[in-house]
Amino acid sequence: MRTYAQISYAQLGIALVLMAVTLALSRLEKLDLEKDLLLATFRSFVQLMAVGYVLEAIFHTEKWYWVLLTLGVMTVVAGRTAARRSKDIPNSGWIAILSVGIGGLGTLGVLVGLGIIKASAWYVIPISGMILGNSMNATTIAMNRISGEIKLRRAQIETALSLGATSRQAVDPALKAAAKAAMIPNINSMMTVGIVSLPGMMTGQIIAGQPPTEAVRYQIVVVYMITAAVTVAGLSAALLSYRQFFTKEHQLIGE
Amino acid sequence: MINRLDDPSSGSIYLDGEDTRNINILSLRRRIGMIFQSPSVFDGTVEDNLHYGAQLVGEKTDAAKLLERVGLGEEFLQRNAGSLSGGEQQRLSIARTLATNPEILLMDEPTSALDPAARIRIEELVTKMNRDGLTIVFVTHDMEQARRIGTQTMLLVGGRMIEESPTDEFFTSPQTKTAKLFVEGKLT
Repeated sequence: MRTYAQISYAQLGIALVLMAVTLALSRLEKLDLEKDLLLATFRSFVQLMAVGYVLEAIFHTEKWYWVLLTLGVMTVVAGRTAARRSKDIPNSGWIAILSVGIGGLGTLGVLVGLGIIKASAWYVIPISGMILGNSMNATTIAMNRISGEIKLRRAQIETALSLGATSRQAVDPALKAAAKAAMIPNINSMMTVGIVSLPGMMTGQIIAGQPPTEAVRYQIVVVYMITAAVTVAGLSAALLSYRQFFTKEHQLIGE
Repeated sequence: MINRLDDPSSGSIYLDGEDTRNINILSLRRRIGMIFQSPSVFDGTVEDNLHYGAQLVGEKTDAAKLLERVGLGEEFLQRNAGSLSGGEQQRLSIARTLATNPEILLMDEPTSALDPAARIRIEELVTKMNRDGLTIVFVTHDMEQARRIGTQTMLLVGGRMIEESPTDEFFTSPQTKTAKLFVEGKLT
């Protein structure tokens, strides 16, 4: 196994040159993004350094409740972020947190339960980061799309209801469109993984000295896991969201 | 409101003496078919559209016969529903609703989005369906249209029923001041 080449704080400082170049380009082209770039540079540095220390502390304690708390915080933050783009859906915050949780943590639970992923903070937290991030994006897309589709297809939905369809039956084409929209970006990236992109986890393992043939096996599990999480999160988000647009008597709410 | 796509803020609606709120909503909507102002067809062929209502309850329907009832030929069956003209789409909507064997057909200004030729054909169809025994509640703002096709006329103003009488009587000798003003075209 190759030895892992560390990055020193001095080298980290030198990498800031890249941000200086970005700032200079923004200024030169009058993009007016200097303030945002400075803030983003500062925030990414502080957030990542902080998370490094937090993870190191959790990994060393190996206490299950710290791991659960971390997963809980990650799920809530991901859910709240996803809900921000769908404020027109009542209870969007809960729906998003639940969808991200069911998709992300559910999939993770299955793999840990089957013994494919080791039940250890070292494995569970970094992998859940990837799954929750993807579940968050799928939830955002599904919620955004279902709300748009229901507005767009209002006449068609009311026609279906008038023919005796339940709200679930009437909204079926909108649900399918939302679920597909949530899944397609992931299917696209599955198609091109290894050709167009080398995924972060695999890259990390290779840099850390793992043989590529071993790193890809892990990555394949992660790709399948993300796909399952995205599908479950997207479908959950669409199914939970559409109900907010109907009464219990299958009446479409609002004009 | 009659088929409870929406509920009244006050008051009740009765069907054969029974409060519509006490009837299973899905069966109520099949008993009272509805045609909207602008026709709305589902993705797929004319035949797919005609089967929609029946499929919801696991039944089959004679698509060609339904088309015949609304004056469209069998050659329409495999056509994309979205490619039909406005008038044809409205007739398809009527056929699709007839597939659920409604007791009453609620038509909410079904001709207001159509050209005059299509409007006449829909009016002829409505008159024929009514003569064949189907009860039709036809909502219109067009007095002449109400006169042409109605048998019983009810004037609603601001959500309240002002007058109800046989159509001929309603237009020749309205009983209320509001109905009189309406018939004279002076109701603002």
